[in-house]
Amino acid sequence: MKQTSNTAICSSLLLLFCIACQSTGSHKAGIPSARIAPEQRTPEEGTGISSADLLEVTDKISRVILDVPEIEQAVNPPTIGVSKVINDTRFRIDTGLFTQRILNLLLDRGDRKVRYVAREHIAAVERERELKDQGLVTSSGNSPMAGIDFFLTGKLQGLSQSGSQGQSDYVLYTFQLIDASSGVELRRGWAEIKKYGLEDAIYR
Amino acid sequence: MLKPILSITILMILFAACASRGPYVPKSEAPSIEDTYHAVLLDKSLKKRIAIDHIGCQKTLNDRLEVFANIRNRKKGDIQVQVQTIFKDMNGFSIGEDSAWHTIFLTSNETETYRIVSRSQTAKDYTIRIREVR
Repeated sequence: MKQTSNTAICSSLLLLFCIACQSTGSHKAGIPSARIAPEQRTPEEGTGISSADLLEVTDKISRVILDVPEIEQAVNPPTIGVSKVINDTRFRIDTGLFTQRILNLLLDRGDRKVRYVAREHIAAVERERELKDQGLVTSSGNSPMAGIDFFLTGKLQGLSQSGSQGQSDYVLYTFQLIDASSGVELRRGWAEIKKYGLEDAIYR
Repeated sequence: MLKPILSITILMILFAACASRGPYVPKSEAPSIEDTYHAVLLDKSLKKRIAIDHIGCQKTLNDRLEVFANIRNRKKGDIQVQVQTIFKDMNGFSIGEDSAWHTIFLTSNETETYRIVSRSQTAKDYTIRIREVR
C-alpha cells in the first residue's frame, strides 16, 4: 500500500513537471500580430492601392529615372527635389510614400547618381547658417545653398466601377522628371494596375 | 520503492534526449540552382505552364546591367505570374538591389519580353525568379 502511494505521488509530480515544461507563455489573450513581407497581399486590401503596388511602381520608376542622359552621363551628380504628387483617385493615401520610396531607391541603391535637396529642412539649414555667420558656432565655411536641377513629381488617376457582382479599380501611376530651369519634362515613367474584387479598401 | 525511482530516471533520460543541442550545421548545396541558372521557377506548378525561350543580358552605355527574357505561356488559358530579378556581384552574392515582384499577364500561348536594368554598376550577374501570384 505504501509503495502504491509513493508511485502515485511520483507520477503526480512528474505530471506537474511535464505540464510546467509544456507551458511556454502562450496566453490566450488575443491573436498576436505577425510580420509579413511588404509585397504580400492581405485579405483586407480590397481593390485599392496596396503596398505591393507601391513597391512595384516605385521600383520601375526609379530605374526609368536613372536612364535619363542628364543623370546617367553627368560628371557631377545633379540635384533633385520633390514636387507634390497629385492624387486624383478615390483612394485617400499619402502620395509622398511614392516619391519617398523612389528617392530611397535612387539615393541608397543607385550609385549616388543624384543628390537630394532637403527643402523640407530649409528652416533648420538657414538657422544654422545664421549661427555660423554670427560666429556663435564653429564653421568650416558656408557653401552656397543648393538649387534644384530636377523636380520629381507625378499624378495618380483612377477609374472605378462597381456592380452587384463586385467592383474594379484601375489606377494609372505617372511620374515625371522636370528640368527645374526650363520646365521641360525630361522623362516620364508610368505603370497601370487594375484590380477586381468584392471588397472595397479602407485607408486609415 | 525501486520502481518509482527507476521510472523517474528513465523519464529524466528521455527528457535529456529530447532537449535540443545546438548550434547545427546548415545544409549546403553548391552551386545552388539559382547560382547555376539565370532563370528559376519557384513553384513546381509552373514547370508545365511557363517557358523561357530566350534570355540574355547586356551592359548599358553607363555600365549598368540590362536583363531580358522572353516568357511564354505554354498552355491555353490566361495565366498570371510574378517575376523578380536578383542582381549579383561577380562572386554571385546579391548586391542588395533585388527588383520588386512584377506581375505579368499572359494570354494563351503568349510570349512577353520582360526587361529590367540594374540601378547600380556593381551588378555583374543576375537571376530571374518566377513564381505564382501571391
